[in-house]
Amino acid sequence: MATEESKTLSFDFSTLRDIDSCLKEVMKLQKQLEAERKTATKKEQVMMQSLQESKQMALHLQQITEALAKERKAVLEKSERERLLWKLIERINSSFDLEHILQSTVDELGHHFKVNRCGIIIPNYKTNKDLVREFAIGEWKRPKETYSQVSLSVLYRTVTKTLEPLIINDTLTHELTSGHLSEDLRSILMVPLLQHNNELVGVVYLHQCRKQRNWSEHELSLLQAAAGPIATAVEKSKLFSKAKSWASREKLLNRLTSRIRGTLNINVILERTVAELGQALVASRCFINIIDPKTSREQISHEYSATKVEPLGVKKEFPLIINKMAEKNVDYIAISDIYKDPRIVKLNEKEIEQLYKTGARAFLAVPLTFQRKLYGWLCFHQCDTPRSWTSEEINFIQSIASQVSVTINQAEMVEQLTEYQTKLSRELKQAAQLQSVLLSGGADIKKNLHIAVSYQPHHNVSGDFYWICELAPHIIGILIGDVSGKGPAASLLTGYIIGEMKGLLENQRTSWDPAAFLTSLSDSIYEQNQYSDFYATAWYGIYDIVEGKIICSNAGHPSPYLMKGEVVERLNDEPGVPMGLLSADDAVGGYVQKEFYLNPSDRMVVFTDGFTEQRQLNGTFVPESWFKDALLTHKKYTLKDLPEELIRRLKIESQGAPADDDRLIIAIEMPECNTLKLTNQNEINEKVKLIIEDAINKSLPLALEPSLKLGLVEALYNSFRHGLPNAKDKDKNYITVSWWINEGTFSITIKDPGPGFNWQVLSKNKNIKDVDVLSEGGRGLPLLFEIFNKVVWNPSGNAVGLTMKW
Amino acid sequence: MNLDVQDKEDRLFIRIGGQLLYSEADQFKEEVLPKIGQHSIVTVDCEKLEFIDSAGTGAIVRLWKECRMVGAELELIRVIPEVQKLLHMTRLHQLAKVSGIDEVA
Repeated sequence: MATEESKTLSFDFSTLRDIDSCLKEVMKLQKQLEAERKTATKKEQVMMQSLQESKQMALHLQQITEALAKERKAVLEKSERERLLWKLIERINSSFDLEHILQSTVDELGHHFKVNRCGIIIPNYKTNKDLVREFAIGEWKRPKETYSQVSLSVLYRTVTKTLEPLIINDTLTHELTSGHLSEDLRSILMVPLLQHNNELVGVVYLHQCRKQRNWSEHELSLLQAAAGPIATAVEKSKLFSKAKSWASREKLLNRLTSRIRGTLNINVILERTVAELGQALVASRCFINIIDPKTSREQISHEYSATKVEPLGVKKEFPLIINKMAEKNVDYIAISDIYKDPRIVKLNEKEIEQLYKTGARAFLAVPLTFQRKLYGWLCFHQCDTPRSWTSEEINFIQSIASQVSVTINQAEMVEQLTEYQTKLSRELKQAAQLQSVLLSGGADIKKNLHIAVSYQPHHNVSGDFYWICELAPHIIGILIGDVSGKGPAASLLTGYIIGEMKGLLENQRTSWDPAAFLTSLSDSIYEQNQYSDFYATAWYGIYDIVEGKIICSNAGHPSPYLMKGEVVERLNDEPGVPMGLLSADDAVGGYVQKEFYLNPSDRMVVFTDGFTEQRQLNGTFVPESWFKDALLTHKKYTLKDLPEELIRRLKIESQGAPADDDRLIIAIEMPECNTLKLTNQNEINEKVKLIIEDAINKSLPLALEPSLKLGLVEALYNSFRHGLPNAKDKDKNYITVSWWINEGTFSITIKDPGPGFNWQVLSKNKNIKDVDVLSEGGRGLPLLFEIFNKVVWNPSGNAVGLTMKW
Repeated sequence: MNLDVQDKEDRLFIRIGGQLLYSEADQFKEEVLPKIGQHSIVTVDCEKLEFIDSAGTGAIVRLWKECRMVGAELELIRVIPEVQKLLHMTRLHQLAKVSGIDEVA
């Protein structure tokens, strides 16, 4: 604003001398005044400008002040929000317990907003049990039952539907609340709790009671800001709870899996499985419905039922029913509420009734399949209330079902295996018995021939074998062998070898020729070897106990030991290739045949490698020399005791280590034998009398005397009639008779110098009853077969062997 | 072998002792068979027959055949058990009537 200002100019009147000068002075004054006025105007202008600027500045200052105040307010609000948020975040981060978080949050918000109530609602659509926490002061506190029902209110539904805040400044006038509220609730602010993906997790609300309250923008904004961390807390808690539940299920799955792997007792596994699953999933029932593969009937094998839930009952048939509501080959059947499931129309009335009778509302059934085979179903019932089976639950149950299917499959396999093992064990036992019978074929001969055998199989059925065959009373074939490998397969080959061996022993071309015998047996095994890779070692010898002569061949078998007086020596029998490895064409030269002699009381010991390849406890082999040393130190033992003593000694040498292999040993002693020669048939009576006296002295029952006499007379007259007159060598024109008696067995061999006879044909008619009663001859040979237990001839038919037992 | 052959009207009575073996069988046949005539019965008293072999049984069969040709019956009486056993074994009791020491023929 411009202001008038007066100024006084000084004037010296003494200078007024004339008008002109006066005028001049006036002019001068005027000029001065003009100048002064101009200056004043100028000043005024400057002043005005200044004033204007001052005004502008003041305005600007005012604006700045206002802006600063606004800014300060915003900062304060922001700071308040941040403080609140930080508080909430801190609470959320300090715990995984959602209920605790929610309670402390509503307490914080309630205090902060200075409201009468503050609450949070987290709905649970699965269980229909919402999680509600409320803060209230004084008289506005209300029972939990009341505020738990908030989710049913119109206001709640409005917010959850629109996902927008609901601001009611005055309930008396608001359309949603006017006339509906019974209590003195005047102002409501409700904000949805949204996850980051805008998914609703609940609501937070503020209540102002009795006194109306206008909710400010700031308050709305603050509550919305607070809604973020609350939603995060709920999400975090849900994730945590899911992770916890997943971990617990994983743990359960691992436990069940390890239990399944750890035991084959299916009943224990399945019983615990249904119990733990039922508890883990908080189901009313959990049961396994097994399908009988033979009859296709279904029944409950194992069942868990929660407390106060009536079990359906183990062995209840066709308990599932709901499988008829689903398509075939489904991964699972889930029913949330049987009363609302449209698929129920697929059931008939009886089935529906049965289903309702179970008391279950929700059902879940997962098939138990393994390699496309359906074993049954793993089933769950939720009684009384509906239940939405989550995908996590279904996935989890499917994992368990897969393990259970493996268990059932395992159990089925175990059952089959056990059945097979029992059968195999029984058959092995039978095989062992059979083998024992087969192997004891030479037992009777052993008695009469001073032979002792000990056989200790390593397995039930074993690979070692032996056979002692009386080729003639004074000539025996001794076979000992060992099939590679052990157990049933080796035993079967042993059985095969025994069968083949018997055939070869019946054929004199091979039984009297060790090299031919082993070659034929080897060929036979070789033919079988195209189906397997077995081989066998064997030693075969023909032992003439009258002459003490042994002819033998060896197919890769340990060579026998000879015990001659004080000397023990290994027989040099040049072992050949084990049997079954080469065909007859490939085996150049075949098997070598060796011949050696025993004197009376000399012994021969044949054995299998179980005696020479035995380990000690420390794993090293017992030195092979032990056997020879033991024979030297054990020569005083009787023949009968020798094998067992050698086995006992081996046990000591091996320091008690378990047997590595079968142990088979045969000890033979050259017996003392009676021999006489007859040149005239008139001597028959006398010599027969002599022989019978010897037999009676050696315990021949008197009742058998006539029979023995008749037999000897028949045989001797035969020799005189057919052999002596046709003697090839006139210097040996006599009949040799050798006999020996041992342990109730009389054996005799009668040899004439003739060419022999075709006994294979002529001795065919063995039965005396088959002889024509009107025939005057032909009774001689049948009588021999009638009287003696065994009648055999040598291949040429000029020596007969007779054995009588009592 | 001891043989005593007596012709008693329609019965030929033969007493045999010792052994009837291969070595005696021919002698038995040579001495007995020619004496069989118009007899209705031929009795062999075997009380002293100690032993018989297959050739001996063959000789008995031959005797039975000769008897049958003349319509005579053959009986072996007072046969000791050891011999009886062989006669049964060779079924000669089906041809001839065989009785033991204490049995009445």
